Amino acid sequence: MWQWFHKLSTPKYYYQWSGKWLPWLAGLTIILFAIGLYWGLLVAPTDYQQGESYRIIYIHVPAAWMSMFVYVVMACAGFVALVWKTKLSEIVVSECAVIGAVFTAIALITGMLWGKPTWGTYWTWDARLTSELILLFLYFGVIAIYSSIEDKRVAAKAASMLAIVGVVNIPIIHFSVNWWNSLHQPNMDIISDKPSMDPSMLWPLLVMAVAFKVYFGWVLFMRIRNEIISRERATKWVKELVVGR
Amino acid sequence: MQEFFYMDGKWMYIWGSYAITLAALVLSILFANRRKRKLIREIEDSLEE
Repeated sequence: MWQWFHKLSTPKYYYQWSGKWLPWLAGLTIILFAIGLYWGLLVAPTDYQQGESYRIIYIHVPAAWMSMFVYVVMACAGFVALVWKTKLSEIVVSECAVIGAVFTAIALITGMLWGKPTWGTYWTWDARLTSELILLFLYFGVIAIYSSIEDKRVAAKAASMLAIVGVVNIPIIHFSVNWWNSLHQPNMDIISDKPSMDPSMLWPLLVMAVAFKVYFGWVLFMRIRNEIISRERATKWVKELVVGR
Repeated sequence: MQEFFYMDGKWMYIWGSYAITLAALVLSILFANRRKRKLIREIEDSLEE
């Protein structure tokens, strides 16, 4: 197991391994999105309180979940990058930052578009909204470090440290609706016997959540592979790869 | 059908959210694809020199 991990962390082996997964991730993403969108937009019933605008949660909630999930992945990769200094983990940090920023921006924008017809305002300086905005700035911080420090390995060190320190924001986002008086809806209960959503509305949400996860895998693999080729362009295996195409 | 697109008068918020999300997700994939093509072209050019 450890040996396999060690092997996988070498750029060349990772490139070959991830290449086999790409078509599956792409296909699965498209199928899951097709099912989730059809189910959420056409099959799921209208909410008796929020009307049709509740349908925004089918993208807002998965994007918000992903914004935190990607951050934790990035922080873990940052920890590996600081302790074992593997090149691949450094690349994971930089690529997660970009993808995570996209998910966070989606969560914020769709949340605003949902807030206007539901709360009557696009934005309020509420604990949940503010801590999610801070998450966006943390991602921007990691991206800024990578783009401003020439030596990518030095940049990785600084960026990883910021990523790890910023992890404190994740539980703050999650518990913000309990700790402070918040306009935001409480966290969903999907595990207990009495979930906070009817199954007819909950299932499409779960499908969309899985669709977002698989999509993340797809785009992360693509971006890591690009970064590997870019950094290793002087090596023999990359040259052979280009010639042998 | 018209009712579906009208979304109870909330169509701007709902379709706006979906359009922005879809655009962001699709563009991320297209950018990654374009970067790969560009990188391979660059490496090909450097090999010919």
